[in-house]
Amino acid sequence: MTASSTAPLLAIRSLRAAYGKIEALKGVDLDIKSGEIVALIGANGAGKSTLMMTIFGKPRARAGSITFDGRDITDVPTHEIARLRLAQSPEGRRIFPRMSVAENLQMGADATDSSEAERTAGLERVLTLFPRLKERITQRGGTLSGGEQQMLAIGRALMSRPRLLMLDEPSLGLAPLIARQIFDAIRTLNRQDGLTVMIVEQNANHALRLAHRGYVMVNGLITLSGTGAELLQRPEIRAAYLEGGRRG
Amino acid sequence: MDYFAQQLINGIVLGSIYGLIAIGYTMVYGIVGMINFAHGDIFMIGGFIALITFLLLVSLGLTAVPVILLIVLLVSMAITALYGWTIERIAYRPLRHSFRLAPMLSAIGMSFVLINYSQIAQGARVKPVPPIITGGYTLHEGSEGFVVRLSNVQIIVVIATIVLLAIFTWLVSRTRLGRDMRACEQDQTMAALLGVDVDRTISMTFVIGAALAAVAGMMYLLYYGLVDFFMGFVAGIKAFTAAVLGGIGSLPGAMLGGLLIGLIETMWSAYFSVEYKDVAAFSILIVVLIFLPTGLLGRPEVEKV
Repeated sequence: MTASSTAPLLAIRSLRAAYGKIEALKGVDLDIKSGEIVALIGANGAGKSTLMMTIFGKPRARAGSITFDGRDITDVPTHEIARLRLAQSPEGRRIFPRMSVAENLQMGADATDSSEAERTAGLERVLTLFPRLKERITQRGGTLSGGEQQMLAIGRALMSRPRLLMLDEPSLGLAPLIARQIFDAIRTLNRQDGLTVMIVEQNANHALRLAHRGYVMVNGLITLSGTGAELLQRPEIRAAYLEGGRRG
Repeated sequence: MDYFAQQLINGIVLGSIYGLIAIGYTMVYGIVGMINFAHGDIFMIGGFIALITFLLLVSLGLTAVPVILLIVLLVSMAITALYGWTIERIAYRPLRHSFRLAPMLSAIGMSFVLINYSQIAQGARVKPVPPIITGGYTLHEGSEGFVVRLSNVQIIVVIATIVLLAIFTWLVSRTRLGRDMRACEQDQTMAALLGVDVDRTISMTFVIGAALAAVAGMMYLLYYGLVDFFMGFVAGIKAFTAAVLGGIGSLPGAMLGGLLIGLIETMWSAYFSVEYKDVAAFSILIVVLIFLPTGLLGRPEVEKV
């Protein structure tokens, strides 16, 4: 099952996906190595969220392959992918509004059939990372603020003890202070727990500072890749995603 | 007053049966957003299976009533659940990603299939059974000679309903399956991302709904002492009304709605006219929906995001 240590944890090759007739991914190649934070940046509608969802089989890939830890998961049913300890905090957070915070977190632990000990340890980790959730633990998910919901969505993903955590726009719609808290939490998870992270962001500045490597996506294709620092220096990136973005 | 107390008892018993059926409607609506029009006929199937099992056990020489009842209960729940599972599998699942009305039309078709299948297999005549549970208690003897009675059948119906609802509530609120069901009800895509097998969870919803309807079918058999192939139609419509009255999608709502429809029907029959009892039940539904469009315990469509 485990591949050699140099092979990437997640390898995407020539991946194509479409919604009906609209092709959203037009042949994407992307690698994520164990222990990395990889940022995927790009404008609205570039296909970033589609790529994340296609990894989970929603929609199914039309061509190409997705390999996770040496196993081809291109055609694995969505609900079995979570069992491989691939977790996602998706676009729009999608927490369960009529479940309590505790139950939302349980759903994450259920995904990998966690033992009681693993649940307790996972819960403690999540509540240390996001103390706000502790105060809200019995509240319904739908009553939380946007920032709290984001923390819950990440916490829920963490409860499944992921080997790869995928975050879709974790800072979207959040006050800068809260966004910083979330980015700090991601950095902590990567440094202390060795967690591999893939992060989709429109806030390219934040994401590229956080990430070891980054990919830039335009119209369903990867157009640039490099280390976070390299990409931050590229004039076309600065023009398209940083300076313009900052002023706007 | 005595008369009222007697009608109250009768209404609660009838309401329990409606409530058990209504849960199946509301669960299925909650999770797949369709009205399972065949659910009333699943109730009828449950009644028939209870009857057949009962006759089979008696012909085998079994005489201990509690043992018979328990076996009948388990057998009819199991076989009816299998019907529920099969119907979802062959008639609804293939249409799940089709247009919204398709599974509902398929459900109406399934209802006809079940009705006609039962008529052909079991005959068109009403099937009576001798009273299985007899006896009861006289609660009060009024001065004008009116007697308030609580029969053993009534006690059994109400107790069985309460016990089943307690188990069911525990299942939905405390177990992994219940959590998965609620997750699928709220966001199927996210549930799948979290490892929930959505198809299996939907199947289980139909299985549980059918098992509860089977209990209702057995209670109906015990209480009225008869079953027929068409009994699922009216009972189904009443239970559906109960689910809407309580707020479709809400489990406590289904039970409350069932109880109210049972009481309204019984009281109307007792004080006004038997002929117009259905008019009364449906009129109350209309009035409630005018002022509370989501039903008594239903939640508004718009969620805070």
